[in-house]
Amino acid sequence: MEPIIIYLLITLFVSAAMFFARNKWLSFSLFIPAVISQFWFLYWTYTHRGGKFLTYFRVDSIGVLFIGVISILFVFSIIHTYLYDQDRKSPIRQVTIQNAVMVAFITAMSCALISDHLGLLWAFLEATTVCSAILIYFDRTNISLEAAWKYFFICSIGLALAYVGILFLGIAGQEKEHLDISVSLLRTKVHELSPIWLKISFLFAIVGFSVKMGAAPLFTVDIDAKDTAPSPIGALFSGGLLNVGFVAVFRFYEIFAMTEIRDWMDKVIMIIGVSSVFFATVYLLKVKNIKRLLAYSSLEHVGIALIALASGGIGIMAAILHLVIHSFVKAGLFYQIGQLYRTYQDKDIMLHGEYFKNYPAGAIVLMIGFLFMMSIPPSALFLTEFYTFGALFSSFHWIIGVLVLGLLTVIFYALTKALIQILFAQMLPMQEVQQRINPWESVSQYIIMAAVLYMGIFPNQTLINFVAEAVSHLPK
Amino acid sequence: MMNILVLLFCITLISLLTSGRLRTYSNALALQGILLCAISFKELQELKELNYLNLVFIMLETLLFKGIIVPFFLNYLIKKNNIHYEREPNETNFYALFKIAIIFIFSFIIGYKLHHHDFNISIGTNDTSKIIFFTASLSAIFTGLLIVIRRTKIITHIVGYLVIENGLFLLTLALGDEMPIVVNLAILFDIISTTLLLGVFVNRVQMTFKDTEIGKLTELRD
Repeated sequence: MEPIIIYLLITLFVSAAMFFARNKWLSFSLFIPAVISQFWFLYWTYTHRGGKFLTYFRVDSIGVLFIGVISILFVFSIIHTYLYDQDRKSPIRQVTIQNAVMVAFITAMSCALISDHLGLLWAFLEATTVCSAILIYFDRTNISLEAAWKYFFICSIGLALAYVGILFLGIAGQEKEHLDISVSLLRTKVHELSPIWLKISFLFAIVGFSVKMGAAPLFTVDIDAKDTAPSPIGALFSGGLLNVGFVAVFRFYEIFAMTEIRDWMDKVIMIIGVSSVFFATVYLLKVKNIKRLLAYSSLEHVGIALIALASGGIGIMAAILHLVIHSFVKAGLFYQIGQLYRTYQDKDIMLHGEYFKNYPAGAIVLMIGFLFMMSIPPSALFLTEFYTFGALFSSFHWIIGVLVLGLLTVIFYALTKALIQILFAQMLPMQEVQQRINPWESVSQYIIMAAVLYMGIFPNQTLINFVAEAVSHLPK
Repeated sequence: MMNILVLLFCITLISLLTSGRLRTYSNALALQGILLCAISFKELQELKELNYLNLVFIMLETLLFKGIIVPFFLNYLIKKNNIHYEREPNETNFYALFKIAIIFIFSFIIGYKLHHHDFNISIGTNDTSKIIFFTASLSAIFTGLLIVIRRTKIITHIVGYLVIENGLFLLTLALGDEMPIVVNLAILFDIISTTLLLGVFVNRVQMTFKDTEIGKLTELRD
């Protein structure tokens, strides 16, 4: 039997068992086979790069890279889901549903990353939407219901638009010689297709998939989702789902990079990237909710990745590396924000303060994470942004370069202001520390931040070669 | 025959946009399901090699799912939540008809231009049917989007989503047999679960907010 089928069957079985589990202990211990199968699948994809399986799947470097990121974050998210439950003591049914859906969510994301057929990629993305909606609704509060409904509905509409893009590409292929809409086949035949169809197809696809990337124009529901979902799930949205949305757009980019619409496509991606950074800047200046602050920062980083992609050359590599590192930094911060919330029982930054005094271990993570998020050296994000601007200026996008630098400066100001408020500002008289957190709970965040720091000081050549392999087929 | 079926499909779009009664919506969706079944049957018949598995699958998808289950489920939601009427604010039928006319003309122009651009065809050739298909499916997508944007009840938003899905189905038919059965199955599974979950959320929203107006969902903000 094909390993993909085995993986799907195992995760399906584990997910079903979790769903029907009658106690939390059983539900959480079922994560062990889920993690083992996930890492086995990661190993299998790693050793089978370049292969095509079951007609509709193809394993390539970018897919393996992001499956790796998802697998690692899966483990950390399980730990924090457990801690979250220890704190909240949520009803059993809620926990078992959440655990079951989380496994399905990870599986859908992993499979989307290796889908060669665009229809199948769409189907897995829609599956992630269904899972996300259930995960967002975990708390069963009015606000989580509102967020789940909005996310689910807008995502479905957005993905319907992306499906129109896929169908248009299919129609364009059909006009010539009944081409199957798989990435590998279209890449070789795309230059024969009519550019007008390709342009329309790309427009629909990028607008539709923007809802998954959390980029402009359909970013609003993504912000609500990250705000409302429990922090470990928010980490998976920022560190996993965002990348999957990016890969969906990257698949279209791979296909169209060989055609005459490349320049036009770069302009569209650039517009979306710059407007994402712009919206992030505007909202970051006024946002008071710490989780929304992180969500808007994700909007900024996906915007930077898109700008890097549109700049071409070394920028394409920088885009992928940027997203990989951003995933870890953001996930670490989301885990830490979960603890911050437990300390103050509020998400409003203005009601936080003296975090350094109240919980030094967490405050250090928060400080390092914020500095990394702002791409300050030795953060590995500094390197990727450095290369992004290098690519931007070497492709003569001077005005855009200066504009984005200006916007990043404003973002720097907004994030620093929030960080200082949380760490050092005096707490309001009526505000008090609700809960003392055990420093052991911050260990995973330290591991993540240390890894990012290591990557910033000693860039890992294996990882860089891996990313280079992922973009080697693209024209310079 | 095919043209008549597609035209009937377009007429259901007019009824969707001009009506305010929710029962009319579910009836129109049921009719659309049956029409899509007939259209796909005719379309598949014309293929040289008839794939029976594909045929049975598409019959099930259109007749059973789109024609029976979805309208039935909508009726259940309507009854359970006791919502029967929805009308765009301050709008007469004239404007609705005007909008749908604009949608048809716009979709036709896009369809004609796109096909014309490629092959320099003239009306009356085989490509005419492609343009008609294309116009109908684009019109359905735009109509669905218009319903989603303009209507205020969340149940009508589901109707809008289903109309968009029907438009996409018609567009998939224009693709012929390019979508393999595995992919079709996966897509169908997603659409079924999406529809069901949307329905579950409607019930929850009704229970929690005691209302199904989208305007009530305003708690999330920066």
